[in-house]
Amino acid sequence: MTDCEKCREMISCLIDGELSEAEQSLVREHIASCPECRSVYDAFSAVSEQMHEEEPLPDGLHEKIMSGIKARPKKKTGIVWIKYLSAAACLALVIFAGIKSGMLSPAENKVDSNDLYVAETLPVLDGRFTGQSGNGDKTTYTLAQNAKTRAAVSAETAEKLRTLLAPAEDAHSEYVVSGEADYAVSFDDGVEPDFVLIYIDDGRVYADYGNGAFAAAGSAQEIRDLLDACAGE
Amino acid sequence: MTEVSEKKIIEKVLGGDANAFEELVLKYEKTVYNLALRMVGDRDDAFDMTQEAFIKAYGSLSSFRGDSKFSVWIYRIATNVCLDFLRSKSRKQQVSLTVSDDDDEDAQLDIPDPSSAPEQQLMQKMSMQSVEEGLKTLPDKQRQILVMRELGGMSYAEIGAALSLEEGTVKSRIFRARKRLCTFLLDSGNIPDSLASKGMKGGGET
Ligand SMILES: [Zn+2]
Repeated sequence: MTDCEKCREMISCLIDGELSEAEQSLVREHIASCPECRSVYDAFSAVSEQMHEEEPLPDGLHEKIMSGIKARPKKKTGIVWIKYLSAAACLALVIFAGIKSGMLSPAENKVDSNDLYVAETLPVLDGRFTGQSGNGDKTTYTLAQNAKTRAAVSAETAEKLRTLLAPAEDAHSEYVVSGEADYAVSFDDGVEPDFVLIYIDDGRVYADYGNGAFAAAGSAQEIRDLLDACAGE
Repeated sequence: MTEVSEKKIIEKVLGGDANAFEELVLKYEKTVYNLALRMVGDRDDAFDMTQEAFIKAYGSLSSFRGDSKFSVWIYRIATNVCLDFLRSKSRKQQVSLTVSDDDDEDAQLDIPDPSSAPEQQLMQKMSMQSVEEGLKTLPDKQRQILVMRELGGMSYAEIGAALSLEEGTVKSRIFRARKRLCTFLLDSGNIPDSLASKGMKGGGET
């Protein structure tokens, strides 16, 4: 191997145990004859070792965690989102589309699943939902293969999400939807549109507000980070 | 605790036995704390982040997919909690326009701005302290991945899956993080002379 920079990236992989045996011997051969790369190896190894040194858990942290879990805070207003995850089993999922607009000002909205109901049939969902049935104020949708989570989050987060889901500058022609949405987000803060399906494909994000999917401005990671941050709320 | 027994615990918790969760806390709290410490660089903040990560994990346990390890999942939550914290902190430092937040965690203390690294003391030997200082100078994304790798023990494939990144991206980000960290340690005199090298100076610009 003659390319030292290439070798150094491989050194990093070597430390992480990500090299095949053949690659390992290539790297070891090179560092045996190249003092610069040898010292890169030593430095990377030293840093890695240092990072592995764990501090003991501070006093009281375990108790704090457990008491926090037992007294989970109630959360605020904002959006309700439902995350679709692949799971083997079929299950029924109640979709809470939001508080009837006009009933409450956004500031007063309380997201309490008992108060929520499906405001309307969502035609965009056709084909991805295998069935639906009405029951008073609620509509129950049966999904092909899903698990769900719901979260109520701050208006600020909702705003951030809408920004990420705006059309990308290079938004190209309509995305041909295949498979299930990665997330479905239902906003209950009174701002339209209030429901969006999010598809993540090959690192890109596509949003479908009901008129076909388009490439969104935010990255897959930004979207996932944001929604995952909501997950426990 | 095997993956199978972890799944059993999770089923118990989801079935209503909240106390079963403690076993998972006991198993992962130390690593999560250390991971948070490397992410936020402050013990008090790491303490809070650890608590928050477990509360989030507990609250969203139903979304845990059986097809990845619980460890991968909790480390990802923990690093995300830390990133959010750092972002909100830097926002708060820029403008003191805090969106009113009815509960908790507003009494936050200062992490030095990572971009203006503090005066570096010259130490002969690399210490945990200096590595922590160095980590603070890394861009969030690099630090997150390096911490997931080093403390979380996650493979490139696991990190890639958790963050929706190509393995190649994971690989090069870890490499850049290491170069940058070493360059920082070298520049601040924290890498012993024997390790200091032209080699490190060469490629550390990213
Ligand atoms: Zn070389």
